[in-house]
Amino acid sequence: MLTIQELISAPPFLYAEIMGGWKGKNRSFSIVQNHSISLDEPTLLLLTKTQSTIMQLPEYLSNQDVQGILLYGNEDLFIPTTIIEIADSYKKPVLMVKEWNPESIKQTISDLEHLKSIGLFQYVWERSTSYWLQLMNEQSLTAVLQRLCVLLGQNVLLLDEDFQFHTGNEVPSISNVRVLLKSLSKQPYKNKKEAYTIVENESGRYLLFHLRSGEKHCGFILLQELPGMVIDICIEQIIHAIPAITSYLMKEDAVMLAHRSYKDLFLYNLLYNNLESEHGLIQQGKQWGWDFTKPTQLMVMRLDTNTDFPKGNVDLDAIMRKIRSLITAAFLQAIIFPIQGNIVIIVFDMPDHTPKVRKERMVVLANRIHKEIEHSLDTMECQIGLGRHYPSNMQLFRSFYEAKVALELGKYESNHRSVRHFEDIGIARLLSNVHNDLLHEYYEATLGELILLDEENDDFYMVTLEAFYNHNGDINQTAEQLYIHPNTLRKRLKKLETILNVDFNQMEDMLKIFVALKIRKILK
Amino acid sequence: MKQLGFLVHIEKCLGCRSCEFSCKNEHGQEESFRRNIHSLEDEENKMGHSFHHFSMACNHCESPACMPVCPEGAIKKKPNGIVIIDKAKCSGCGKCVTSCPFDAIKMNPFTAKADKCDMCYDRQMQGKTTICVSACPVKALEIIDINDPMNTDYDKSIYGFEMKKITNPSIRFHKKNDDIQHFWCR
Repeated sequence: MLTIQELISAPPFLYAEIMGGWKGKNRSFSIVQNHSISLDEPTLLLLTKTQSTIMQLPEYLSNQDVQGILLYGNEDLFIPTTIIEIADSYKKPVLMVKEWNPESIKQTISDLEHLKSIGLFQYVWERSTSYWLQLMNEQSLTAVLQRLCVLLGQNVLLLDEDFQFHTGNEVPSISNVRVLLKSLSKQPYKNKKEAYTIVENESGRYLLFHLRSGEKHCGFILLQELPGMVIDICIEQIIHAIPAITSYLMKEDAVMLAHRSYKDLFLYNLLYNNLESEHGLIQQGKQWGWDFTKPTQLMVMRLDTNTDFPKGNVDLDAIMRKIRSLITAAFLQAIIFPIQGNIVIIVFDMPDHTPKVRKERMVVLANRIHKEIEHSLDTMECQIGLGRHYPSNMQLFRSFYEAKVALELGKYESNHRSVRHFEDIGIARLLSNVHNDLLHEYYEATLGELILLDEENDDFYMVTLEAFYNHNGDINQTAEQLYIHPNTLRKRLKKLETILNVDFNQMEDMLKIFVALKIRKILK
Repeated sequence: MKQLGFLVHIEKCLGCRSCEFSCKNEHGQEESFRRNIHSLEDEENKMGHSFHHFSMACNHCESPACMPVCPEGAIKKKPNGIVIIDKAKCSGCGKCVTSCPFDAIKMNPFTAKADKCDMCYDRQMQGKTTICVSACPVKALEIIDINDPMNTDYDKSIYGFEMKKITNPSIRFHKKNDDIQHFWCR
């Protein structure tokens, strides 16, 4: 005797539409008849698809020997909801197939019965794999999952490798499932080689099927274990659908990888002036939902390991997620991606701001990002450099260079700031483009004699000079830092003026020494 | 992403200038050289009796200083890391010449446009190596991908030669202490 569930797992009945009464899928039948006269055995009723047959369905379903109804024919007919409800109440499946020859249907069912009787029914199931692949190709992942849900009579959940719901799923609102997924993510299920694993929580037992292609793990299918599920053909149905789902996920993965590599290339081209036209930039940006018609501000973030802590792995994705949430909280959109060990943030701003307002807004945003990231990462120091805003987004490569220069040269500032705008790094901006030989020459000519004196006599003139400049020429503060009396400092400064041949009351002389000290820091 | 760069084997370089002249022949530069040989005193023998030579051209920096100063946006960095000048866009203003910390960019007196090493971009597109690498008789020059983890052991700078670090030049030096080659002239 065949059950209706077994019947539908074999071609051509795999393509059958389930109209109702699927709770009775385990009903078995011994004969197939295309009339309801003198039934005395469990029967699958074979009926042609006509309007009058549909109207007579309640009468057929009420017959206790009818286990299910198979409607055949090419007609597209509407079955009223009331009739479907009647089928559900009787728990007698009503199926619909496109086949039009009742004799061929009868012959196929008789062949299936014969195969089952001699224990070769697994060959029928094996042929169902091609059905799932065909369904996946013709329709989509959602259609396959929906069909599985219908066949199994429950929700089938497709999960990714990290036990998150796949986008093809209808996400359930049951909190029990979420709790279960949280607990599953903590256990090493990925390494299991079995087809499925039984997992339990307060809400019941679940079957966790592994989606694997060779060594690559693609995800999981999770469903609740219903009574009798392990002994009927539900497991076989899922196992034969898995190759189709796995191949879809692998294909999706490959597409994602290609998409990501194009995205990386686009962003590289944007930052290194490889794009030909603004129109091309706007069009390409649309592919990823970026509106390059809006003005942008570029920031570069660098993370340095704090010297007090041992080096560890940094979760860049988590940091980027955090940055994204902070930018979204400011009602802005941004592109955030890693490049050359730094994180680049391109923020799309409102078009109606003046350059000054835009700079202020972005510095405030960068400060907020810096504060939050440093707060969340105890072991890391974070620094942010901002480039200038340019009227065209084609000029982002200039902004990128400026942000990196701000990041690099800002550290030579006397007042250390973690967020630095290119416009605010002062004279270091000019020095960045001067050849090292020239810088060395200038520094040697200005401070060379002083350094030589310090080395020969073991003096502190260089330290004094640096402290004096670091405190903006404040005698008292400098003296306090050096633990000397202000008058001693005054005496030393007089001596310094003589050695360097400068006057600390003259702005030009002050600047000359200031530049030499800055060069010293840069060259060091 | 790739970042192609020159690897200079310091101990191998003879200072023969084959790289300079082959580059000149290939790119038809009459008055100036894209590639230059530098000579340095030996690190251990600082008295000037022994010299090391090395060949240098555009370093195809990670953050090229020439790129943002070009008002025409004629300088671009290709996805393999090579920095090239778009001759059609270059107006010959010379800003890039002054901004390069390695003096790698020169003005071509015939075209009045900026000119520099493009790592034989056309040759590389045909699957050939650069002319300087193929011309070196002692294989002292190589093209490597400096982002390749295999190439992280090479030195970023060389003793006695001041290099600007802010642009992250894509040049690496290899100083092999053993197996020094000696040459004598009659």
